Amino acid sequence: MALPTLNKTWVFTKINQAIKEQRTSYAGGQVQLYTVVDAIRSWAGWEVKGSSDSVTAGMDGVDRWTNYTKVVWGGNFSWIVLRKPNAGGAGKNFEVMIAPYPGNTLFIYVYYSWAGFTGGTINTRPTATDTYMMIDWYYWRNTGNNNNFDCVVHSVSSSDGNVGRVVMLKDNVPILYVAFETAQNPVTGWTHPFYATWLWDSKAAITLDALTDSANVLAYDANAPAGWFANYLTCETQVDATTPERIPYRNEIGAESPLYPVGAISLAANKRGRHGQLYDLWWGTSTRRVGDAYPDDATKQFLNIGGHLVVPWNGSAFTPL
Amino acid sequence: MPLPSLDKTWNFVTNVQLKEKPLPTTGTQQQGSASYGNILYTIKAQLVSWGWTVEGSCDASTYNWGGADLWTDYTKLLWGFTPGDNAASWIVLKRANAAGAGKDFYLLIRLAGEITRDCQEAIIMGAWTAFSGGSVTLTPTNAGKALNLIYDHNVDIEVHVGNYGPRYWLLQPTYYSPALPSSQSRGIDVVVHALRSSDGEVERIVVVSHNVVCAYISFEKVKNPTSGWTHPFMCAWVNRNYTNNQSVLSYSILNDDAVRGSSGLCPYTFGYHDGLWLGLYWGSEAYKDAMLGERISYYNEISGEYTMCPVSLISNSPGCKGHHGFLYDLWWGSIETLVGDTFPGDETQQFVRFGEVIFPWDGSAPLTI
Repeated sequence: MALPTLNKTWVFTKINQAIKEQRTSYAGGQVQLYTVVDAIRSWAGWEVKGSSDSVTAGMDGVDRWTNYTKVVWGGNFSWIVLRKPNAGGAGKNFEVMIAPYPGNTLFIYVYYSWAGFTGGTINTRPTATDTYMMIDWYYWRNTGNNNNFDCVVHSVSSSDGNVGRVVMLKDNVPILYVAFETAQNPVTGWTHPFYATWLWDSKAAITLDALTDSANVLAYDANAPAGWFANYLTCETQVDATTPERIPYRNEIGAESPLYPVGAISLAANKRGRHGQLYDLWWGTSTRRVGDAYPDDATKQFLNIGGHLVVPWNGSAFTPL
Repeated sequence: MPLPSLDKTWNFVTNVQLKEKPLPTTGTQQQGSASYGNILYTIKAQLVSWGWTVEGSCDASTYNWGGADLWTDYTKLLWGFTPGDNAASWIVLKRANAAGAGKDFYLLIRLAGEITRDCQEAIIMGAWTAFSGGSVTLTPTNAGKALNLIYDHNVDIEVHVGNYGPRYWLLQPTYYSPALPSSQSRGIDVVVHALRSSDGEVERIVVVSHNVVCAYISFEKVKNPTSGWTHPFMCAWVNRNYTNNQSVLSYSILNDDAVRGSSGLCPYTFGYHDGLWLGLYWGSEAYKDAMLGERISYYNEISGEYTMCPVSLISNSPGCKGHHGFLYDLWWGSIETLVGDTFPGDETQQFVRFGEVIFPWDGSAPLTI
């Protein structure tokens, strides 16, 4: 299987971001969340619609998260609303609201909206009429009760900002995968062809088996009955195992390590079907490790970034941790 | 999912109805032999019309290797009922450059039945070197590694190599419900559909009876073959299912080895690489353990369309394991749709479902009897 052809051009300015354990557990959580949010807002076309640093707040386009110390848990708390205009088509803006949970520094909120968030003060979160509660005051990456540890964050995004992916690795294991992306080849009639993923492995392990076995990729469609629906990721399969699991080694004829396209399928009532696939994302074989590159030479054009997911890469060295 | 774009342009010979022939040609033949002989004759004639050449042939009275085609009509197709002993018709066809320059594919068909007086059996072998020998009473052989394309499929592929045992060459009548008469008592009505890409790289013949695909014959180059594959070509004579009224073109037969025997290594379509035959399963996009057309058998609830997934080729054969490519212009369909259903659901009928697989179509109303 020849290496795949890219559908998009990619930006790699936020890869290999090593985060060291901080002096306090609280600071560890601050730095990590700040780094993830910073990656998302750096994607082309993404905006800060509003924010709070626990001192001042407003849905005014001001980005108050100027450094990690502005990410505050407490009675007065921080929040930020990031928006991707036209993410689901003309006039269909995707918004994600991220906020620390006042009662526990391990927990946050992550809400999605197409209608748009409004309001919000230094001690109240913004709201929306069509909120999807992705995380409702709970863990946001898999660390158990540990908020402070060495980790590394990688973010890759398309130059048009329509696809962005963030992964956090701890001890070379993916503990967080976030992706906001326009669907490739969406079916006719899908009103908002866009996928939102926030996955941490206490929810579902970030592996090929788990991602194809659990519906963790969110989407929205306004056709009646309008609503959000969860999708499973798909892979080429023979009998009862995906090909990368059944044949987890190099092709015995071509000596290549194959890459398999990723699609998405929903079994949600009224939204059942395969509605699209994911741009420039592939499954690698199950024996390949985080940081393994394709081809396995200096070009490193693709990379296993965790969970058997392979993304485009720029040939640079990969920092696993 | 919008209708797919075609990789190739196609030529069609469709809706060829072969009605049951009333009488056997000789006293030693079964009642149904004329019908079954007519089907094989039609298949042979179609291949020859596509450019296959006759290397050798036998009409159960004489034989030759001079290129003369002794199968001049269906009455020349006569069965011998004990392999190797009784006179039986055979033919060897060659498709030149099938897998590339100098890589010729050979097909042997001999009308021999292991079970006494059963003209639903034959010997069908594929090879990449020439057959030779044979006689009115003997099967031609191959010094290379000829593969039995229809041998009992619950054994390892290795058993198929060099095995000249006769087996059913199309679906047994007992797998229809209600069961069709055996060839000992009468023949069978079928419809034959033939598709060939305009560049000659892909040739497919579908034989349908009573709305069930009872045989699928295919000789085709592989799309996007894995690099280094010496013979990027798939050959198939699919003839089995294990469920009543299920077409041979099905997920359970071509993707799923659950119906197989203890070896679990033997698919129904084959490739060849560097002296090794490999079994090829037909992969599909899937989630969990079900292919999309099985898991979501209904139409897409947003678009109203039925899913069509490309057919990939995967081998588990030792030394040749891996994903090796795709089939041109062929897709897995929904198990909810029916044999003969066309897509889109309008008068254009650009695609048709045979079994659980979708083919390009010429816009005509498909006959499936």
